Amino acid sequence: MVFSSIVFLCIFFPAVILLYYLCPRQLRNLFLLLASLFFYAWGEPKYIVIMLFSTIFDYCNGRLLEYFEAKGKKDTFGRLVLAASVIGNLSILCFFKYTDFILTTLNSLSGSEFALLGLALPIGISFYTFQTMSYTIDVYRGQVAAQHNLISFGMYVCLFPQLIAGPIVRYSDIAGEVDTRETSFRLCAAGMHRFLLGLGKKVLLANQIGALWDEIYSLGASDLSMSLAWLGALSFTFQIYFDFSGYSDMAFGLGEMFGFHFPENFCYPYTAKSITEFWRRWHMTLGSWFREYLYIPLGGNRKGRPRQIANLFVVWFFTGLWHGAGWNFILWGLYFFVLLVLEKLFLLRQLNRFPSVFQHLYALSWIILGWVIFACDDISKLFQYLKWFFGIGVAPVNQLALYEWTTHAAFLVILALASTELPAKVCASLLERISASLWQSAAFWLKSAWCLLVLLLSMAMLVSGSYNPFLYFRF
Amino acid sequence: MNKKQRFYAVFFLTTVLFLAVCGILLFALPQRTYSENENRYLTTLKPPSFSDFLDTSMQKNFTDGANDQFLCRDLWMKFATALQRAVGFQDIGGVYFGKEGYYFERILDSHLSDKRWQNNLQLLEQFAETYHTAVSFLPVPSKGNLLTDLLPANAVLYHANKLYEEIPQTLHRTAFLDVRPVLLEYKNSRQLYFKTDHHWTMDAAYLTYTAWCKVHGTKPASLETFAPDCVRRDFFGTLYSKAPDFCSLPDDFYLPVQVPDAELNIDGRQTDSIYDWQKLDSKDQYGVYFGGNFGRIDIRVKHSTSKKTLLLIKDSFANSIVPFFMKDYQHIIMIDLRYYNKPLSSLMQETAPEETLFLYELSNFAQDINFFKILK
Repeated sequence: MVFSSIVFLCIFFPAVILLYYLCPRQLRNLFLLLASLFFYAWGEPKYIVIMLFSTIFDYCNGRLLEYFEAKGKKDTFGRLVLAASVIGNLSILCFFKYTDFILTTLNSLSGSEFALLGLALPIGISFYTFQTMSYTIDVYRGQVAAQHNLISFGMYVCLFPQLIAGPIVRYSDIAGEVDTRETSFRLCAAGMHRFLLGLGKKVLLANQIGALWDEIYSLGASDLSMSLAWLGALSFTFQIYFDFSGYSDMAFGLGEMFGFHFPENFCYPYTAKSITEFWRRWHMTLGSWFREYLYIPLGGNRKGRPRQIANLFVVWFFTGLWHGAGWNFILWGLYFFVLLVLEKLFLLRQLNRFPSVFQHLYALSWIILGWVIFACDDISKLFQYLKWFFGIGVAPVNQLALYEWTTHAAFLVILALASTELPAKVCASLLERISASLWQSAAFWLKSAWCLLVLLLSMAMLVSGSYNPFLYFRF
Repeated sequence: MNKKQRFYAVFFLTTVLFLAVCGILLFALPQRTYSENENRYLTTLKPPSFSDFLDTSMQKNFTDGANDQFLCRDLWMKFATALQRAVGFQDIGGVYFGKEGYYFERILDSHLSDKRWQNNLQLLEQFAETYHTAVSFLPVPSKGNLLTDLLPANAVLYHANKLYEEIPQTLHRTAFLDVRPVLLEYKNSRQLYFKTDHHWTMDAAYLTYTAWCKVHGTKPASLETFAPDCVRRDFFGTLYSKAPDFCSLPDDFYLPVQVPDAELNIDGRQTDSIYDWQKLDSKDQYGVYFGGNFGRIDIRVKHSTSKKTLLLIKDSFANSIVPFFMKDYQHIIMIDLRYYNKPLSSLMQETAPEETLFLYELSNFAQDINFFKILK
């Protein structure tokens, strides 16, 4: 089930939130677990087995680690359990996500003819395998205590707000809230605000500009020009940000309504002045996962420059691969590896000498070009699109470009503004002033009215069946 | 709960209840099976069942049904259109919003396959070589290519002129009838296309009929002899259905009411009227011609002064020109290749038409995937 659907908004969500608060406290985790399993099963009932296996597997691993720790056998059996957990989780992920990719690559390299499995990728598998792995590693490291209650642990893994598109919530992030958590109407209202604004980001911004990208991507050379290819890239740039951060906002808001505080996932990434900064602001929970569980264990920057660069290579190779089983995703990861290394070596120091406008332009150009690599999941199409992007074989401008640029100009301005902190800041200071001069709850009601307007507009778009893709089926 | 928390509760609970009520109404209200506005059958919600859940058909039914059965769906759709137009979009879902309330189909070069276009032309030429019948090809210009000044600024359509230029290069035995000049001549004085539909009007069809007569050296009957009459003033066509809008105005629907008496055989069903008047009360008002599109329609005109037979291989655009042809032919056979699956060769043998006319809207012809059937 996706959040941006009438079934979720008008049936699943109200039913779950009302029943949740009607449940006695000690049954709430069980109820959330069952609701989450239903949520997951809605899309693909049979794959629920994999998620349940992953849950029970790492629950046992956690308990075993605790047992061996107590017995003083952490370094022997404990390590074995840890290895089993990592290998187990990665094997599940590899089998479902990468088998066909590996076989296709082998077939094309060696001319062999291995039959492909043709498995549909279980939704959210990349998120929950990373989450359960982080749990076992953290227990091994002694950073969190093992969870004894299987229902609580299952609820953490399957928790529907963050199940299918993140953020990647590490167990340590919400360990204190798994068994008991504070809830209040204040938190529920704040969560509702956040959820509705996230819904608006997804439905009103991402979907609308996504339709343009979808159209431009499907055009043939006869209709294309360089400026249209740019507009396409810009469209996808906005689509992926508002879609993904909208999903994260919805997850965050839903989490709050149940009393959880998920980690933030995006912080105005397109306002970055360098690629290094971009990655500190984009999909922050994935970045910190890789830093915590791959980069630092590999030695990070503590073992000299050459080793650090090798480590970065590994991290970005896998970051790319994590986003999808395709060469373009690997290419996309390595593209950022090169940029980040260059920035580390000298570029960042040089950049700081230039005016900030230039720094923004520099970062944005590379980010947008990166999204072209990300979006074209067919390598031959990618190279063709890159040619158009650089004006090879097409005119710089054509009438279609003129038409699309002019009819989307106002919307692009809205998207650009919404990508910055400006609207949030302006609104916050306005609301503060209003509260001060009128009455205390005026600001709250204004914000609520705005959120409800966003809800109504989003519902209009959803009911009318306008373009509403799910972008994370390859994650 | 202290007083300070109360307004949080009010907002949160109101929102949840609003959503819940919307959800309950999906099931509580009677199910709509058909949307007049969109001219399509709606998905109705089926009772949940475990086996449907396992094979995900229940989920699909719920997902589609929730949208289709939503309270005031038509109104929400209009809001969605208004919102998109408010931010400057000039096209939604493959439809342009033109000037003066005109909708246009948005067909770009990329949507047409050059190979299919060339292939269809060649099939047409081969047909003319194979059979002993005078073959004509009459492509109807796409609405947007004719009413160019009513398109939104900078709007792009496929390059129809290029296609028109290619026609005589491939067709040698087939007579190519270019009706653009006569239509352009009357572009400003008559309404040639419906505003809310992609079809041409009775006026455009009549003008085309006169052009046809001119080429064949016959004298066209005047439009008045057909007693044209406005049968509906509230026609909303299929383009409107794709992007319904608050400010769209309906079209007047004129029909040539007085047509020669005839016996019709519509895919085996006998009737004596080319009009299915009941369709005027449905959303598919264009279906008033013959009740829609069928594989084979035979029209035998009673007391006809002509002895000629016309084979008309066509799309829906031809429906509105047939009433005029009935003055000049004793037997008209209309074939719609989408629905006609018998060999055309036996039809040719059986009916031996003196004349064969291929009448398609240009982009329909270029995209037609059934054209291979003409050589079967």
